[in-house]
Amino acid sequence: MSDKIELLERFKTEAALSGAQVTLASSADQAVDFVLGLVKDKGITTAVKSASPIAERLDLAARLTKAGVKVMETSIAQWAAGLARGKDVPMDKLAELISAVSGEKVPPEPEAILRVARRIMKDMYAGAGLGITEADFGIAETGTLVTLENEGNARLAAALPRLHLTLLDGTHIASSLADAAELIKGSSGGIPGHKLPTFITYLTGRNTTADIPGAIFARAQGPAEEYILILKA
Amino acid sequence: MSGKLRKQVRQALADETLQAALSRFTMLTKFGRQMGMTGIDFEALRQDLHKRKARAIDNLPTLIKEFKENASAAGVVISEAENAGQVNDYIAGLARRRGIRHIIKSKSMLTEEIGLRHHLEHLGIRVDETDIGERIVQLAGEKPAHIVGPAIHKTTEQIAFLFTELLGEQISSESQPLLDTVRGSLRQSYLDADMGISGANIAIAETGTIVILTNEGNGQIVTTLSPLQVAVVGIEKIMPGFEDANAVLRLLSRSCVGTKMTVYTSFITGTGRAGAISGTQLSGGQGPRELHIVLVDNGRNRMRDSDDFREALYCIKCGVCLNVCPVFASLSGQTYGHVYQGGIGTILTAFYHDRKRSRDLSEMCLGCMSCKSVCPAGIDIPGLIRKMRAQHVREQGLPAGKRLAYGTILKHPSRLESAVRACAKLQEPFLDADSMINRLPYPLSFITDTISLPGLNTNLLRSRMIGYASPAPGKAPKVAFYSGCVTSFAYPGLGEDVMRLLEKYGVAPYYPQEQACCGAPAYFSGDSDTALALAMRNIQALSSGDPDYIITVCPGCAVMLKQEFPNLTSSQPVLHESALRLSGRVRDLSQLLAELGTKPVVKTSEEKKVTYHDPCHLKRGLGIFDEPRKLIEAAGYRLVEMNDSDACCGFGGDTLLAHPELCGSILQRKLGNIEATGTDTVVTACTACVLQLRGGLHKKNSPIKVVHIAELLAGQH
Ligand code: SF4
Repeated sequence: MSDKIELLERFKTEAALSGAQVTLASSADQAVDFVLGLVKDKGITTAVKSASPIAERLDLAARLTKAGVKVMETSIAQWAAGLARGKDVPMDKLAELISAVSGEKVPPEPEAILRVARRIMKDMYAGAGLGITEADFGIAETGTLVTLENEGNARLAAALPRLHLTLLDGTHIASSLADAAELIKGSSGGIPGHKLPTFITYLTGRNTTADIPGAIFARAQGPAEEYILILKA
Repeated sequence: MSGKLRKQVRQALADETLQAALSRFTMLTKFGRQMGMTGIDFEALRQDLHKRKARAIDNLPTLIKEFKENASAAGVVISEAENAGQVNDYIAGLARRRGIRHIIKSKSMLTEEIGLRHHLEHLGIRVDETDIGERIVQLAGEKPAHIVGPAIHKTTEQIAFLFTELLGEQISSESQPLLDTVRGSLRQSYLDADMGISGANIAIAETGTIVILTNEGNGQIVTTLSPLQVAVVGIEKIMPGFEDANAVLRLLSRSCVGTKMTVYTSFITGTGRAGAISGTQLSGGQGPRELHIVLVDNGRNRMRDSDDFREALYCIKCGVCLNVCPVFASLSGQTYGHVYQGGIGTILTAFYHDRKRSRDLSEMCLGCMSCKSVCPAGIDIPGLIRKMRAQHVREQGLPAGKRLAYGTILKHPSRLESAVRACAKLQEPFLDADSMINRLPYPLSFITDTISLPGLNTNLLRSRMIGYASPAPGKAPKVAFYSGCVTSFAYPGLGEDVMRLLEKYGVAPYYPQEQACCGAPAYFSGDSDTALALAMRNIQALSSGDPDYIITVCPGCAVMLKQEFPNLTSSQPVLHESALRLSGRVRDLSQLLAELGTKPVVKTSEEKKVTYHDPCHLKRGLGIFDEPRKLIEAAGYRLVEMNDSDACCGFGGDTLLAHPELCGSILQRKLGNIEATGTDTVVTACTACVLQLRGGLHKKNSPIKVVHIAELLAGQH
């Protein structure tokens, strides 16, 4: 137990040193309050999010919606489910729903739907004030967040919006790069032929550039701020 | 010697904007590296990386096969290309078949190496670089100035001008608004483009994964957003497993930027997939629908096949060797002419681009070993440069002047002495009141543009040392003094100081009369024959009298005796054996004095401040930097540290002849740091540094005195 606390402390310190803003919440209410406070402070009206058990647990999407923030799911399956209001709809009905939001006639074929969904998503990411993702675990040694996925939406939701918030379970901390590799090797991602998930993203601190003289350690091309919200046990 | 390169060097040195940008850059990266190295055991980590890289390159054919199998299984379209043309054609063909008009690209030195962007642009395809620095040099129509920071040489005004042209509206040159403009313009590129191209920092064979690092976030976006993706990967990037990738990650960002990790590290394995809609599994995700990986040789297998240069393939392109290179700090990367810069760039240029240029570039290396001391892959970059010169000499022979200097004169001590005596006569009309030569006549005048030379002394050290031919009987330890040429011919008085000093310390010093030049000038010019002949002679000369120690006052000589003699003789077992025995006994003067641990024999009573210059070969060649400082302080002096005390003084025989202006600029930086301490004395522990610093200060009419530590400790200054 004390080992776990130590890892968490180390993670917090390193993540903060590398330029992220770290908050530790000891209850669900505290966590939600933090997020609501953040969107209020920063004047956020739209957020994109990827699949997150923590967000589910906090009922975060609903709480944000109630606070006036438009929350959009970024996994295509969840996004489509949202359009169908959670109902099981056949492909042609779904194509109609997508046609209505995309402004183009979408044929009821998975390929076409995928193509149009990608186009719509692209604008969603770029236009969003906040991206919300959940990391699979953190690495204490370097303050790094590790996210595993096959779809690619989480890494786009992390990179393109104006601000980015990562949710992290405080018990999911690996001590070192070596330990992280061990954890990763155990997760194939489930696509046949793949020995690893398609995308494993290590995010450490906030994006920077030194290419413009006089703007050292300035924000480069990702979000202006990286927030990490850790849920304690 | 290349007139073209010399002209380019002069231009860079005369460019004030560039020089200002370079000094900013050097300061920033120095700070970064200090930060990056705290809290880690760098030596252990780099040995680990070196071993892993060595193993990977040894097993490369197997790893390539394994990588291909695993990547294909994960849905990657994989191909191999032998040369630049094949890669460019492959990607152009792909773009044409898919009707691609607009490509976004993340930074990749390999794509620069093969000229991919130009090739595609030539075919009418729009290619936007997305790394901010790379984008800037693209718009400027230039080559990258640095492996990691392509636009380190640009000012905000220059950048604002480029974007004003591009966007057709007046762009502010204030840093923050300018950065916002650049970001906004790249944003548009991401949204508009229909294909992405990236490189890879690492490729993992056991899973078919490529690893891409960016701090800006552009790599993350480029490798995901477009449905059609190509990664261009040099075969040397392939390593067996995840732990090998970790070995790279542990040092890459720490070395070049000073952060623990690059901000975005993406491990990409094959193509992705989203979940199901309406009960139907989607065939792809939001990443690439089609991922092509092109494995590129382009000279790498040739490098792998050459025993001499295989090590260059261990390079992880971190760029830290450039950050610490005094030559780079004077020139920036454009001067190198192709895409790879500095010492490692000199080697890579030979294999990927242009051997003639590489040969010219190799003349700029001063052998200061700064690069070697920081390289996270443990590459002996100066050693590779020496081998490059040797290869050239094997193929083309030595130029006539050097053949005469090394093969005919240096090799034979008696001829060398006669030559010195003859020159000493000729020099008389040029000596000034300080017995220095302030100006040599044309065509040699360029040598004295930045330093005055010491007059040669006709009363050579060897004659002065007749009385010291063997150690005093019954005394121990027996210490053979190896003086080196600079002491013998320019500073024989210093040699006498050394003997007096050693006697005061109670040891039994002697001067083996048969010693000759250590061969360093020949060796580092690629004349291994002369170097071997001199090694043989010295091994014999210095074994006589069976010394307990052999001491030197020129660490350049010490490195030859200690490290290179065993290398040079490796194919001759008996000789090699003697070289090794000798090697174990070689000490720098201050090292020996520190080892003997005796109290200072002369102590100054005045409260006097001095500063200390670390000779390259002493600090980085022999790892000695603490000992001289302690001796100076024990002798009662107050040591005032200068900035960059271990930066090279710019002494370099061949480099001076080929690029006197370059050596001059490096010297001036050093002198500036010395002057800034406000002391009137600079102590150092290398006779070559003494020559260079004295010459430079005399030229400037500076009152600052340069003292060899032997003179200081002997109370002779
Ligand atoms: S040679 Fe070494 S220091 Fe230079 S870029 Fe390569 S890995 Fe880095």
